[in-house]
Amino acid sequence: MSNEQYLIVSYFFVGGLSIVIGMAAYACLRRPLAGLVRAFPNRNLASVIRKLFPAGLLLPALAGFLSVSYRSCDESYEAIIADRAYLVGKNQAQLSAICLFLMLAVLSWGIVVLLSLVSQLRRPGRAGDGEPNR
Amino acid sequence: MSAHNLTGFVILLALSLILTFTIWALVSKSLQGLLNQALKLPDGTTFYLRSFLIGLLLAAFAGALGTTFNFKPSDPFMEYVWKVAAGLHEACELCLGLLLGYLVLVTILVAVLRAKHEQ
Repeated sequence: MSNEQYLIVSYFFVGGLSIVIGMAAYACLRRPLAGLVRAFPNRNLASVIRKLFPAGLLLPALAGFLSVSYRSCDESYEAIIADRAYLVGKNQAQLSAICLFLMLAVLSWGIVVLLSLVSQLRRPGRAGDGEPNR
Repeated sequence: MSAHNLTGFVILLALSLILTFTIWALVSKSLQGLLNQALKLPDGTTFYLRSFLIGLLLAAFAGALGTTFNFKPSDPFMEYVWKVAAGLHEACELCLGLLLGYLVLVTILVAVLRAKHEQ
């Protein structure tokens, strides 16, 4: 396989892998989150959190993948594909960035759930079951 | 990637995962008890425990994958050791950052929810 072929295959493979990793994290956390938001008196908030959750994990994974640039210091395309070790290093950097961005996203979702829990416990009697807060 | 570089990378990844599972084994039981006590919602406990484990695993992978092994077979053994140490350092830093973030999160969670439950 030539370096150019490797670049094309590995780029799309790692891009696909970023979505798979994001989906795997979502699959692990989907059920407990759904059970948790089911206890919220405000159904609208529960619905918003449930619907935003997949995007809130997939987009950071994708952002991590896209954050790594192959071009540094105005390198030409020929210079980039000349070195296979450089391409492998960039793939590793992409995977590392995916993991890092996803880790921060999971931590941020923990904060979002915490704030939701606190706000829902603050006025438990005021929001009717199944009725939106006004 | 040559066999030597691959071996170095696999050793680094294995050490990072050992670090992750050691932290998990040390903390998971007491964290589960604490979350059960504070949240009083089994799904909430599961969500925070799983997010902690996923965060630790991602920190280990991010640290290990961020290190590139690009040595020749003739390079001395200690070059590999230093590279593994540098990668492990990065994994440790990320795990520590996650632990700090999580510690702050759980402290706020316990403090706020305990106050609410007492009211």
